Amino acid sequence: MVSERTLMLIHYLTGLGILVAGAVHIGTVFLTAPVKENLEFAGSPFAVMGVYRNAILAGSLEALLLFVAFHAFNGLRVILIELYQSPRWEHAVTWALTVVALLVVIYGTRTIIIAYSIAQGVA
Amino acid sequence: MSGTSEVLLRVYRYDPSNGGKPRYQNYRVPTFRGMTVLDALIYIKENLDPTLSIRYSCRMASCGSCGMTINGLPRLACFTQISELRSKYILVQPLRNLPIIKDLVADLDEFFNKHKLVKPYLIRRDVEEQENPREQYRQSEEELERYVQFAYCIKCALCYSACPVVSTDKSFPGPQALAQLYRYYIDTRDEAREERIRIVDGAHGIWRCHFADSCSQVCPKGVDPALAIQLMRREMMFGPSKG
Repeated sequence: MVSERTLMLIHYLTGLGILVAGAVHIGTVFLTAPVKENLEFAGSPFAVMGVYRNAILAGSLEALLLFVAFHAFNGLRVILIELYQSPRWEHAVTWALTVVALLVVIYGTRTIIIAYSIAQGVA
Repeated sequence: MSGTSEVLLRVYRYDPSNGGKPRYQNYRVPTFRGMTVLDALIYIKENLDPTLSIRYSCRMASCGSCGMTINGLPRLACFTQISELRSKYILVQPLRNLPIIKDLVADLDEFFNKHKLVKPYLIRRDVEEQENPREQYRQSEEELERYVQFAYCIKCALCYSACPVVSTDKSFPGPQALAQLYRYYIDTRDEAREERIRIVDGAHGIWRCHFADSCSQVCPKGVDPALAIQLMRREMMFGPSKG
């Protein structure tokens, strides 16, 4: 069983990771993506797809997904175990949220892989 | 008791032993210069209503017995002058987050049990030597300064009453216990650092502090439990500090 100390260390690090990976993501889409013609192009599906052409940027999106999934679901766990206290409840909450977080990561990863494949194909 | 003005004390009354419901009772009390809320409550008990229950002892903010909620904030009644409240109306209630024995007397068992949980005493590896010490455990001034402010705690439970986490999580040790944990953890004479960490490294332990800082705001002795909690977290996360 992972100690609370380790979970909170990962929680803080993923919080910082979200800031960094989020800034990279937003910056890439709105500033460095192929915004050639005008600003309206920024944030458009074309600009987003442009991000996936670069494997490093696609990887940073995967990292962002992992950071957000851990940080959000661990935060939710903390809130839920504070609201009501019982070993059974805490066990159920921890496992249920772990499963949901894994499903989110699997679905998100699948989406990133598909987008990356399409972007590579149209590049 | 001579005084030219008076205040209205609205006092919480509750006796769980006879199944009564909580209610408030008003008392008009003549004031004098330097009068404390405890003086006013003693005046009520001696002159107006002997059935009012209060707990007090030293009357000089040393024993921590007379903690109560005065005009919405946890304070020591003996350390709160009527004049500093700047109001002719004073609401007096028992400490929050604790069961009530009667009227303004809160049951501190839960609070002291959490205090005991963190083992608030020095622990040495050599128990035999600790029982029969051969020499003084020497400390430098710098080593003393690391924990001395936390040793000023008088266990009045004001911080415990002010803590928003305690109000929602009854398993949370509370600011007083956690500050005492750090006080012994950082003491160079103590040799049970890992043992102390294990006590509070749980789902309802030290990590549940939201850092509201209300504990430090209400402490009558100037102790900063929120700081102790943050320093303890740092020790737990990045390893023991040097020295």
